[in-house]
Amino acid sequence: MPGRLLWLGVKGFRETIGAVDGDRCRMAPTCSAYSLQAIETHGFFMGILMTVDRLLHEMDEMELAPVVMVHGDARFSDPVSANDFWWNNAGQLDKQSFMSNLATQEP
Amino acid sequence: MKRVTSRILTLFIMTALCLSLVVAQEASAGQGDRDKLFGFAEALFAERDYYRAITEYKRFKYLYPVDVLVEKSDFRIGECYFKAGRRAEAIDFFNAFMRQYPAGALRPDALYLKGQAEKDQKRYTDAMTTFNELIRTGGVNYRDRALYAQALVLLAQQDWQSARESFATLPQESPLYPSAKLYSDGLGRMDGLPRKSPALAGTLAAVLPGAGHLYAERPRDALVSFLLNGSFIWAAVELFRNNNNVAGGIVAFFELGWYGGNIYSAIGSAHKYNKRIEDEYLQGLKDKSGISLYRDRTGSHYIMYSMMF
Repeated sequence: MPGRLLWLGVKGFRETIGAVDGDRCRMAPTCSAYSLQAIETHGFFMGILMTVDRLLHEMDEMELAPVVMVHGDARFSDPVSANDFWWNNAGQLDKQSFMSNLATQEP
Repeated sequence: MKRVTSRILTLFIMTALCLSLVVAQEASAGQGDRDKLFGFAEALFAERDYYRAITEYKRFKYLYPVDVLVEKSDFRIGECYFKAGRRAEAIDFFNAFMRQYPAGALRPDALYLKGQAEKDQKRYTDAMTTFNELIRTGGVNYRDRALYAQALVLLAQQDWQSARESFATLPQESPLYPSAKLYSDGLGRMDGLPRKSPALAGTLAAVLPGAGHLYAERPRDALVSFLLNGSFIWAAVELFRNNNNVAGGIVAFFELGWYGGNIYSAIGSAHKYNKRIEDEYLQGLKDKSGISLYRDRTGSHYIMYSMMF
């Protein structure tokens, strides 16, 4: 229930203030979309922690994260799975794309 | 009468000759069509036009259902799915292929590609089982490749120690040995990588917001964290000092979120730092090992490896 209320709060922000304020977040997904995903995936408490973490770590993440194109704009990829991999097994698997490519390569 | 008989006989022989010529030509044309059709499918495959190649291999199977090349066509369809990145379809196809040709010459290759597809799909247990089967049934030619592939599966699971042990099982006479040795030795040095302690990062962040990020080499995040937490703490203290307890409580409530997030973020930053270091190190090992697969002349078997040192 608290998670649902928090989710509705973020959703309300996205559709009112966010819609007027414009799309200013340079990350992919945007911070509000990230927050919704974090709350949906991990609930109220971890959702808050991960949302705050996202707001705090944007600056240096832009130096480290891979760039992806979203609707023609260059964004810095920073999905939920990139920030919960150290305690969430499902996220850990998502982060292994690099190592999945360690297989033999064909010419 | 004799003359008529002779003429009829001559006519019969000539007709038979003409007919045999036509039949031979037809047969020769059929053989040519078969070779051209399979060759066209192979050309599409070589050009990496995998979806069209699948259609042509299927056409070949439809037109020549009992041909000796049907097994290869079937294998190629699975290989097309694999190379086109449709790993799930490739797995299903190779399963069907192995049911259809339980003792086929291409069964080990199908097993190998199926294992690789399972690994790419992160179905690590299935991949290990498939490579185990290849070790059991594939003969000596496939044993080393399967062992090497198993080590890579363990590597993908970040089970460094087991991966290292698995690489170390490859015999010295194997063409994969130099690469396996490089991995094995390299993985042995994993413990010596300069890592950050997540516990220390979290503790530092709890003592002084931002200090954990600084420790994890994220100075700008450290500054943001310090300023945000400092502002909220300072605001809450001032509000309580001025007996504005309700506003102070609200600000302190929000500060709890910033403070907790700061600790979580510092711990995560240390983990991300370690992961980056490990990934870069493993990428270096991969670049050095530089394994490549080549095919034999018929293009049906993977037979050779090359390594860059």
